[in-house]
Amino acid sequence: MNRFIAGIFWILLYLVVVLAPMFIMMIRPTAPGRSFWVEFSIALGFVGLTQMGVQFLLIARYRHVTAPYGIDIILQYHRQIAIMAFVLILAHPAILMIHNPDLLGLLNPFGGTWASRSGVGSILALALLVASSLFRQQIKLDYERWRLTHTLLGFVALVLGHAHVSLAGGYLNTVWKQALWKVFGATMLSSLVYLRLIKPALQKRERYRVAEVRRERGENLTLALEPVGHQGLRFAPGQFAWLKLGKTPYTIEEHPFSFSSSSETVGRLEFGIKVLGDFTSELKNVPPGTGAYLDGPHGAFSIDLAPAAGYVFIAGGIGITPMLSFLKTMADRQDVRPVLLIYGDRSWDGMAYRDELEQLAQELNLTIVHVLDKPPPDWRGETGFVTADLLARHLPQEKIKREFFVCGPPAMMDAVQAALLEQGVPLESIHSERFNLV
Amino acid sequence: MRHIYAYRITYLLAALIVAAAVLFAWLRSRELVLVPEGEVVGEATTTFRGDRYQEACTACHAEVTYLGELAAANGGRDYLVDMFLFGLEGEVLIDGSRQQLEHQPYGDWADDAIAETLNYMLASWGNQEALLADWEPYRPAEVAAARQLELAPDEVAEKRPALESRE
Repeated sequence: MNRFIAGIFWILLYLVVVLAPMFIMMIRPTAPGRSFWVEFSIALGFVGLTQMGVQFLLIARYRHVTAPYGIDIILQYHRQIAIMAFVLILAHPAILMIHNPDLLGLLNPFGGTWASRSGVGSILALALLVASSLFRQQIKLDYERWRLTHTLLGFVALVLGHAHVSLAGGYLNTVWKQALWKVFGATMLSSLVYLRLIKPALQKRERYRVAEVRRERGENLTLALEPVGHQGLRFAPGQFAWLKLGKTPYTIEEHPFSFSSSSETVGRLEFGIKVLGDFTSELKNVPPGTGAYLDGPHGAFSIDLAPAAGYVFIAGGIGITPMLSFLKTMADRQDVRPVLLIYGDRSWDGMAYRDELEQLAQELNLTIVHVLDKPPPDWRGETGFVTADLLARHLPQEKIKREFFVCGPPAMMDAVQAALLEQGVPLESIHSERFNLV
Repeated sequence: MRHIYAYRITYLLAALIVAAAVLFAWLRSRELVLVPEGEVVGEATTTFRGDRYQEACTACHAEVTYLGELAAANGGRDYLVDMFLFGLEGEVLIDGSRQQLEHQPYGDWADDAIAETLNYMLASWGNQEALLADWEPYRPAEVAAARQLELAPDEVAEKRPALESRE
């Protein structure tokens, strides 16, 4: 119930922050009202700009804000509402120019006024930001460079947008309105300072070191960290953290990884990682003792948030990592609730943590169903993908209410969710975590 | 499941934000405010803009100092809007005698432009002193409603209130 109330609170606060500046501008004295379409275009510009500012708050990873929803939801919203804000901001000059074509001259950056130039500049920065995010892979922009570009373009777009409003005059026609607008903009940008400067400074006090890098089956590895001079962090099973490696927490190179260790363990933390790109490839060669910093824990994908009489875990590939944390935690807690694990991977030899899972099956009330895409010749288990038929064969028939946790590639999660619904599993009992990272 | 709820809430928030923008625009398009010059800050102004008057009207007349009296007369408020929209042509009573008067129409101006220019003129040159205490500034909606009348210039002349003119 507290999560629900907190979730409603943050949504209402979001609406107030986005809409209040626009309505505050109506406090007298104001400029005379104009036609509906002119005022509508002004309003769209205002709310587009305030939404842009709030984007900085959304990506700052404030745990109190993200906890009710899960940070993956916040990031999803950040992407979706950015498109909407961009459309609203584009509509602002479009409507004005349709209403009065004489204003088309303001699009010329060498003509017009400083207000129009800053407005045009803001829109251009925003267009580049949106395009580079939507087409990052097509233009072959690596992730770290994209993050840096994204931050800079967002900063430029917001500053120029605020300059446009201040210089255009009109609604900012009193000293207190001008001051309020500047305070609003500065507050939004302060989140950037928090994320890039203050948070790393705090992370310096809670440093970790690499204890072990262990090769696992397939192209997978386990990274183990130990806290240096502090107790370490506590997390709920299934959560994740952003990891930075090296001497400084100010690096922009950081990646999210799920904890694979038990949440009951104090101190040592383990992450299950699939070797996919440059960063994870380099992890193989990281020597013990290397410094590390964590931003976490984050995430709402946890059995602790979905108490049930039993569970069904469905994992694809390295999606087994949070499930491993679930199971290790349950083992440490001596949890006897029944668990069915359906684990799909490409091959038997490449199946990560296969041996650990077999050991856990001895300690827990755990049934494991392996599903192989490319089985060995003597394989007698399930093959292919997790389908509705496979679920019909293996889902428990007893009537206890179970909660279902699904983790793997996006296409796999979509297919499994559809299959579970087909088997009559209620939607509210299906949990997944989706990171549509750029 | 969280993601499905998140999609729905995203669309709801987007709709609410656009609806708020519509509400703002509707409220503002109905609102005209007449305030003293003293509250001007920087380049922004809280009085009515006179740039259109300067561009379009000063070729024929500079200050129109009888407008307040005309607007305050019976039927005067409507007459001024009609004259702006449809023009004026015909005999009117000025200084006790009937005289031929013509004025070109500005019906191609937007409603808010006409309303603001009329308010600018009524707030200038001492005209505001002749206005009644309960005078309300012209609003774009009032101009839009008057357009429906489609009067001829001579019909507008017949509506002019009789008063002593300073012109």
